[in-house]
Amino acid sequence: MKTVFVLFVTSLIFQSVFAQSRIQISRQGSADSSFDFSGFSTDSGAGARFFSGLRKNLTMPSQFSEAPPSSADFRVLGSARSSGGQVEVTVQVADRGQGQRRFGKRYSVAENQVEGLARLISDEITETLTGRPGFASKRILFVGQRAGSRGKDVYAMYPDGGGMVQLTRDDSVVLAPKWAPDGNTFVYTSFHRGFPDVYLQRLQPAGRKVVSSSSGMNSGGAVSPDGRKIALILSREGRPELYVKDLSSGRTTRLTRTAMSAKSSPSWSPNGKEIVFVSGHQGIPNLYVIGVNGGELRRITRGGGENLSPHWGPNGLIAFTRRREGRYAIAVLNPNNGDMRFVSPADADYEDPSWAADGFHLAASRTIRGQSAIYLLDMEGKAAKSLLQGQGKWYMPSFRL
Amino acid sequence: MKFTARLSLRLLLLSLLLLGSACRRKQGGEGAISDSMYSDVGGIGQFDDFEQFGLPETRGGIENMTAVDSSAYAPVYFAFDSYSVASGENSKVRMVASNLQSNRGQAVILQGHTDERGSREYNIALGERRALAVREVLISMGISPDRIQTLSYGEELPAVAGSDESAYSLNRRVEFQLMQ
Repeated sequence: MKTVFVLFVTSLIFQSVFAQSRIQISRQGSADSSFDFSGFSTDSGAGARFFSGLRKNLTMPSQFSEAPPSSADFRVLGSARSSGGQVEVTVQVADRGQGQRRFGKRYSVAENQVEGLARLISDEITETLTGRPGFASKRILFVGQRAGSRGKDVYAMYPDGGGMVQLTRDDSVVLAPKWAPDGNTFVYTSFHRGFPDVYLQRLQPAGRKVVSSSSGMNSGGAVSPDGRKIALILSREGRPELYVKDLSSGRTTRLTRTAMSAKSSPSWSPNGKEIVFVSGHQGIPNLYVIGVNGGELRRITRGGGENLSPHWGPNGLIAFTRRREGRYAIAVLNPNNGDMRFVSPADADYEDPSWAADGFHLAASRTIRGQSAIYLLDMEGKAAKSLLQGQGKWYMPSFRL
Repeated sequence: MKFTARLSLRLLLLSLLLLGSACRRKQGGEGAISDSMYSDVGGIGQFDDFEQFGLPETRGGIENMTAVDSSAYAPVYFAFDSYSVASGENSKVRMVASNLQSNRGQAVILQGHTDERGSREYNIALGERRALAVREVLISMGISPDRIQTLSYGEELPAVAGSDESAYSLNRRVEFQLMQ
């Protein structure tokens, strides 16, 4: 009975022109478009849950804001009502000015699917109106330590806080879960066998395999954009170095050979030709870039305190953790021209950034007084919203791209 | 542009999958919508050798040895962001070396730790580097490398709670765990 009908789709005429102008506007001033939701009607059950989810996801910080009918840029019209176990959903988005319809779809879904449908429609509306992909339906992986528990495990949830699920049962030290580009697999480091080993875990069908368990430390797993290789930090040759392992042949190649330095946290460039990573060459950790075939190291951070946890986004920008005035903060760096700016507030420690699919928002861990939570930020420093906090420590997010 | 095209393709695939699951009237799990979210294009190597929990042999069998009471051996301490073994700490390593020389059946796990500053991932590497530095001292004292295993916990297992230098200085350490 989980029948889904896409009954009609609005005309996409002018959408590409519209989208182009929206990218520029939204890059300069985000959250500058507003919705009036007063024209949407629901029942009190699953229909209301759908509407609540749609509204929550569309009005995430630096997405869209809410405004009264007199001043909103767009009107959301339609209804969501249960009928015989199915929920009938109609959503339209119209321009306030000429009343031109920008979006219109109708669905029939099972009652337990309304939250997922709300995320999908939120993403479709976001992309239609801004030209940027939405992130409402993109799950975030993270490490969790439930209150009262010593061990840690990998969890996932949607940005709206729904769909939280525990993905591992290691109950040990667990670090740095990172999505592979297929979105069905993630890589992480776990101590559940006593030593730090790197695993690939697949969601459907469920399974796990060891990527690296050589002597010493195995950590820093990051799958390449083409899904064929994995970057690793291994100490099997006597010092932590950056390696790339081919997932088909199993062949492992060392990229770095440096005396006396700790290395961590590799992240691939969008074209898969370079890797940024952390190296503490003279004690203070900095970010370095190296080609996937090795060669010269290029240091890309200067001055300041420690530079850690880089994530090279699909927008070409590197988000990372940088020490600023005694606190850890999230910075965004253009590796081509060295432009850098901080994007997190100064009220706590923010660490371990992960770009969202829109290349504009980021997830990060926020820690204050020993408590860690997952936060949503944006690259203009305007958003800082808690996505998950309390009842444990939650950190090291990885946003599905 | 390419990104947008890919996304459009994914939305198209998604719609097809939604329709596909509707036709099959799939039951259970997270349902059709969730399924389709994780049916992106592209794969990641060979999964044929996936195993649920069985893992290969590693680390020369040290994980199958039995821990020996090692409380007589004091940890080696380190300066902030440093992995040099200070000359004043060498005598601690020498005690362990002497023990290993007189107990040929024993091996040692060097457990590296850091204070809580810095990223958890970088601290695993820093703790490993500290353990490797102690390993080099042990090797220089004549201990065979195959009797030494390193294990870094980074900042995950502090010896002392607290966020001040007195706690930090006790947490930046390498502990000795003898095995036989």
